[in-house]
Amino acid sequence: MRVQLNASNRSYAFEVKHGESILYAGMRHGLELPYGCASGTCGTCKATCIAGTCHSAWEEAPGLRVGRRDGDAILMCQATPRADSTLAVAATVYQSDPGVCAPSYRSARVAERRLLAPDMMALALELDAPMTYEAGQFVAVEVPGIPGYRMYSMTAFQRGAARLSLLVKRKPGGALTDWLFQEACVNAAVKVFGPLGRATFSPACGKNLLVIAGGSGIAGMMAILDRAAQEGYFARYRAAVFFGVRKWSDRFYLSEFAALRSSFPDRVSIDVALSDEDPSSNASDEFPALRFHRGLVHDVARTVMAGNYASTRAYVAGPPAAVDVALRYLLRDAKLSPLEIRYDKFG
Amino acid sequence: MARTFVCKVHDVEADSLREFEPRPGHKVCVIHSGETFFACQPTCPHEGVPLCEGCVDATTLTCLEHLWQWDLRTGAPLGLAERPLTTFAVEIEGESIYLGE
Repeated sequence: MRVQLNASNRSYAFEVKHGESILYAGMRHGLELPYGCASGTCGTCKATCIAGTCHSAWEEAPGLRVGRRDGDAILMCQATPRADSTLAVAATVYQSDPGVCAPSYRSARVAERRLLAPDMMALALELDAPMTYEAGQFVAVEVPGIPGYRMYSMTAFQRGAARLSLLVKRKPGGALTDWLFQEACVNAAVKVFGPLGRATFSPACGKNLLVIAGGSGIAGMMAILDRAAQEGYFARYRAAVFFGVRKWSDRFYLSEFAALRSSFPDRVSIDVALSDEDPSSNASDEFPALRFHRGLVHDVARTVMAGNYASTRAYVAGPPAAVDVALRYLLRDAKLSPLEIRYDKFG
Repeated sequence: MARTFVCKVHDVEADSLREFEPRPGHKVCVIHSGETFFACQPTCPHEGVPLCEGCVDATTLTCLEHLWQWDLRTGAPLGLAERPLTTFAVEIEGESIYLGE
């Protein structure tokens, strides 16, 4: 099917494969379409079908309830054309810069899985063709027999990666994560679309990094810190990392953080916030290089940062409500410009 | 047309935003920042997210959905915002807040 997309600056036309979402098709053709989660929850990719027919794979997608309630609005990430169609998008759309890796489909195999915490798992996918992505990006993963893509962030940075390291949080009642949490998924074939996501890091930003993440939101941050470490970024700049989990038993990545601290003791700080209980008395014995707090991760960040926000770029990831309170803090207390804030809200 | 009563001064806490419907079908977002009150359209001109869920710092209003910002004194877009905000003149008489002519 052919889709014509009328953006506020110009229009584009591209082919959409049978059953493919309009968002993925447009991005495959190198368009910088508006999107956030690429999975139906944020509402950023909202568009209006003004001619033709578009079918929505998920009629109750939460993203349709964000903001304006247009009866005929669709989410490009959930919509497939049933006939040649014309869409209107109330945003400026440019083509990708030359050299940017347009996302594409790949076949992959589950190569390895490792439980990090009761509901958190490291998953390695072996790709049929290497993928180059930016630090902080994620991929969409579809598994056999369970329709729809789920988004998982890469936790390491590598150019031309043949293997993707992902972090998967178990969702209660989630068919896909239930499947991934079984040993039987190893060696299974999966489908991957990506890379996706704009909360990315390049050393060219030349700022100190302030990282605030709750739970699995830390995944993309690990790739950002990985790239910064690989590139010698901490020779000039600092990173203050604030990682929130509910309880001590939910902790993960603490050994990785301790290793990062020992490599860059004067440049990288790690503060772990437990929202639901006091830190275990032996937390500091076990991880002397890390600091532990009781509290919400953005509150801990506010206290520890104590007004030191000169030349700072902030990265925030977590559930939407947690990201919103962190954004308020960064705008009102830290006085950061939105141009220096990158964030991912996921449901 | 005469000015329109919106709310009482104490209805909007300091450094907060609240939506009112001073006339049926006409909503407005009232912002209390420091000592000053502002009023603007109730939803973000981007995707219609209620601006009362946003955040104010001095004269800058931010919609937390995509961090569009405006200068509340003029409605002019700042930073990432692509469209201006409709603002309304605010008059305060005693404890009452009115939208001006």
